[in-house]
Amino acid sequence: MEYIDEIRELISKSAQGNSDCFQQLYELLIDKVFAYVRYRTNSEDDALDITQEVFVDIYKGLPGFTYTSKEQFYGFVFTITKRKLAKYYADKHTHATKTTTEFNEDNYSDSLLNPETERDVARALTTLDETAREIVVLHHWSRYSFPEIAALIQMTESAVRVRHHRALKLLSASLHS
Amino acid sequence: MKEHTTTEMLLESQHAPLAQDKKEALWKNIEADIAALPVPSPYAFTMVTKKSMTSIALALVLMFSLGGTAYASNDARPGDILFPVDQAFEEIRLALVRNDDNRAQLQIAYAEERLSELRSILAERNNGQVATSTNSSNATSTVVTFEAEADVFTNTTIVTVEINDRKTTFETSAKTKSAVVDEIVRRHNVDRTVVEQALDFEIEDRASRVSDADDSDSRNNDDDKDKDKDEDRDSDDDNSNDNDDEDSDDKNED
Repeated sequence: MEYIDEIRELISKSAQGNSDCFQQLYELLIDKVFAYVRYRTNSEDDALDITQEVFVDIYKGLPGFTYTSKEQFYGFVFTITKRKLAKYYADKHTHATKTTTEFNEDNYSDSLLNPETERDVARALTTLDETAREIVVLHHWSRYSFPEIAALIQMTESAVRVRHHRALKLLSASLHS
Repeated sequence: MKEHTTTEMLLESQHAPLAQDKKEALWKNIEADIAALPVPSPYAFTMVTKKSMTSIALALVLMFSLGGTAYASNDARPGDILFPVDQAFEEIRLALVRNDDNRAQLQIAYAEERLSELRSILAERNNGQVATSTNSSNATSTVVTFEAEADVFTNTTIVTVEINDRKTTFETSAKTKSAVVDEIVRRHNVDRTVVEQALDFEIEDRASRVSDADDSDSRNNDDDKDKDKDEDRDSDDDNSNDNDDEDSDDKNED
């Protein structure tokens, strides 16, 4: 409860132009936003650019935003993120090589860790349908809870859980085969 | 289940969160962008977005224009352009009143308003006349022609005054010539001697009729001639009667 009120406080102060409060919101959101944007873009530079624009837009939108719940706030952020990504694809005409959420195996070539496992995971993800992949990414990379994901992609929480469970089954199968 | 957790671990291991230095660099960029934005006002009307602005503006315009018309129409009198608006608002108010007593009170108030409007119109008209008459009589020299006639009836006196071809009629209780002259001088501010010379003072041996005021207007100077004619006719009638009588007498004689 304290946490929710804290977000509410941060939002209202940020809306009045307090950048320190907005920085706290940034710390709260950056991993979630960046993980999703990174998954949807070809390079880390693009992801950083888009994330930057997303946060500026969030800041601009805060005065008109009325906080009711954490899920609703995440939904607000997620809508802005998706809008920015759509603009990114439209501007760069990248949808010729990459449609909205089609997963590109070569995406993560510039990231760390074991390149082999990385490629395996990427390939496994491509076997999932778009929604399932989105749920997996939002849950495991952006660290959203199931109720939060349900609010973000407008599904019931149980439906999200079911889709996630099935997706993991598929992933395990393709990873351990 | 175990497979699931290893898959999850594997999945999550593939996601590298943004390094702290990159996060800070990103924040610096965002902070710079935000600083370049116009400073949001701390007041509540920052909630007014572009979208809501249109409707708010529209509402304001409607409110003021309607309110303005309603307010202006309240002073409207019969014959004014806004008078129907005034009436419409009155009817709306009447329709909104539930209580019969209140409605009656409202109706009385409206009737009084109508009366006062009429009174103000009449007062305006009279003022206009007084203004013109005083204008013409303020300087007595401008009085080119002056005619006056007073008919004294048993119950009232009707006075017709014509100054520079402008005719006015009024009723007074004055019975004598000098009293009538006083009255004319008081009302029209004309030189007393002029009035005394011009006044045609007649005493009618009967009560006044409604038509007398108009009559005296239309008759005016031709009055005397008319009277002569009347008398002629009367005498003719008498003659004819006489003749008839004679005829019948003759016949009787036959």
